[in-house]
Amino acid sequence: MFYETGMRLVDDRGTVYTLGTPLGTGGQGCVFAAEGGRVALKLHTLLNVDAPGSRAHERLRSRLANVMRFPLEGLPIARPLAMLKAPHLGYVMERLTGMMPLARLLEPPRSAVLPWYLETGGLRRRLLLLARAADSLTILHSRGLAYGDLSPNNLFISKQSDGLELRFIDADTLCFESAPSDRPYFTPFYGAPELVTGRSGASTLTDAHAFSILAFELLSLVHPLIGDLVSEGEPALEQAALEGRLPWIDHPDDLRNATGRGIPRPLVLSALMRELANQTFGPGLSNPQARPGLTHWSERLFAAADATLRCRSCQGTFYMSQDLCPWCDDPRPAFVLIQLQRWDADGKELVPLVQSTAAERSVQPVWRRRPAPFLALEEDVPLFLTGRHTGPESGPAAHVPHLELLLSGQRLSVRRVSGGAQDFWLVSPGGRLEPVRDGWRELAIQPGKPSWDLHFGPVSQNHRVARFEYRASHHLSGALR
Amino acid sequence: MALKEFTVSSARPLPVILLADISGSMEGQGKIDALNRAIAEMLRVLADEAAHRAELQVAIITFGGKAAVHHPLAAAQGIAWTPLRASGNTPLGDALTLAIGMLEDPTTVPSRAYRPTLILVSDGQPNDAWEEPLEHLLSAPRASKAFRFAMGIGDDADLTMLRRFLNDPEGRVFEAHDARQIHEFFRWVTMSVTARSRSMTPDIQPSLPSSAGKVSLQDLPETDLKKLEF
Repeated sequence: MFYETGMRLVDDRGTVYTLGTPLGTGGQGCVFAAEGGRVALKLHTLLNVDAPGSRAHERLRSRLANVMRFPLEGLPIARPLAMLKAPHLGYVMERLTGMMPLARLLEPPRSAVLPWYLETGGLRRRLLLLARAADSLTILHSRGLAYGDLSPNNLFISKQSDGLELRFIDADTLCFESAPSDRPYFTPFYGAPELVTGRSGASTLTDAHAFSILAFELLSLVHPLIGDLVSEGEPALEQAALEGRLPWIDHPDDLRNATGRGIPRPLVLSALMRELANQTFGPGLSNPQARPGLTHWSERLFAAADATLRCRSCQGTFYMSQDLCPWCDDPRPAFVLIQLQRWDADGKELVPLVQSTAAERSVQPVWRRRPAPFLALEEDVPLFLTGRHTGPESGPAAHVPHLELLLSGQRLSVRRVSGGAQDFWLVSPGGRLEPVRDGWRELAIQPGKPSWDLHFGPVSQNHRVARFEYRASHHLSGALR
Repeated sequence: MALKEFTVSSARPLPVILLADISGSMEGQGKIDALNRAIAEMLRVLADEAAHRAELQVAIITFGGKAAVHHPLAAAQGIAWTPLRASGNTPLGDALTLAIGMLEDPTTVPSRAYRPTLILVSDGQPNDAWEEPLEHLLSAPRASKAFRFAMGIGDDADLTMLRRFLNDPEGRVFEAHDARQIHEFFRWVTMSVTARSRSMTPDIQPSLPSSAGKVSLQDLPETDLKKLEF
């Protein structure tokens, strides 16, 4: 069935809509803005396959109706608001304004790739968008649901180059993990091998595969399964790669599909993220059970974003572990390294936030390691410590800001932004205690000298502590030696 | 400040070849005008399609009086469309031979290209020896693998020939009797191509030992940034 601007459709509550501007088309249907309203209409066209009233049609209708009842509270998913009346197959959904498909960030120009990469938000924005998406998917998965068809066209992001809003727009393929969909929808290039080959339906593990591809590709601008062997070869090789029958591009031992294209991985993927990729596209390619879940991606992406600094010269963001900006070779600017530790109230001492013992670490696979808890605070850019740092909290509480920090020269300012719900204390190197209040408190901070510690709770209780270490710009630190 | 440069993968070509009947009979009932508008719309949609993995390419071969390459195979984005004019008879065989030449030439359609789409549009009976070229097309190593679409325009269309071109018992010849249906066919083909281009290939461990209250005011060793695992 074809749809055109001006056509009138009715939903199951009797509301009449007139099709306005077409917003997009996909493999299974199209989306139109509804005239004069804040909603959009998603229409299935099941082109030349099924007629209205057919079993396939009715199955899809009942599945869409089911999606309306799924537990999606608090998640950035554009869910169906009402079903359209037969013979149309579709639903009314929230209309997104000021947003675009994530796909736009996967379409680099043929030349001047790096200026484009930096203009479209650079490394930090990409990490944060991915971290937020992974966080939402982790919550969805914890509710027993799988997203299904995760692809760059189904995930919408802010048009603004510094925007971090995101919305999953295709709720059609959501399903309960326990009842995989009969028709496994997927977007090739993002579909897990078991979906591509028809061995299984959508699951949280196929979501993990799709997300891993998306993350790798968004950061490095190369598809992890499409190396030179595939890219320069016949399309049949592409199918083989997507079915999981070829080595991935950064396979440590099998270099058949290696490529020099894309941004060198260590510049954009942290070491622990590269381990996740190695596990996902290595053993996890043919064995879904070996694939790391979204929670690992979420944790590492946030940690990686926390470790970024902005270059004073090219304005690109990069990992603080690099001495020079990898985009323009300018020396790393001065910053404060904030490391999180744990206050042991019984022992009255600070201990590292150890997640596992040395013995456990020796047997634990690298991809299961937890990122070290730290942040990089650059000059003149406010930094918020949220529940994720002070808690640790997960879910929405992870993103509630508690403290704001600001570095100007060698002065560090701290203030409370969460109201009086939680006690925060500053402890001087000599052991003097001072409460953190809503007003700014300025502290002097020097390279190589101990600074105040910021406690996220009273001394009588166990809590986390932020420790500050001033790092001069790489240029200066070199000159001083 | 000089920014570094990185290379990214180049898109794989996805060729679309249209064989359009522009014989004299297409002049009647506004058929050629409808065809021109439908092709122009297809080109516009294909040119707008932001598919970074596939470069949509279009060639137009016409047959009316003689078979000719109206537009050689090129990226849809770069095609300056000039409308077709109808005249002459229906030399389908020659047009098929041109299509085979294009598809089988690795400098035109490289082996890394996606399966081509071949579209045949006709309103009448071919008047040359078309059967042998068709057999050749259906058995040529690369031409035979193309996705084929066929539309018969009007009551005089040779549906038997169009069915033989499809060479697929499941395949359906699209029958158009007015301008709307001609548009519908091209939208259907366009959607199939864009869907394919998009949904392709159906084919620190901290080593700081100090603790609050126990810290000496001596200089602290710097944390080795390279050893912070994140």
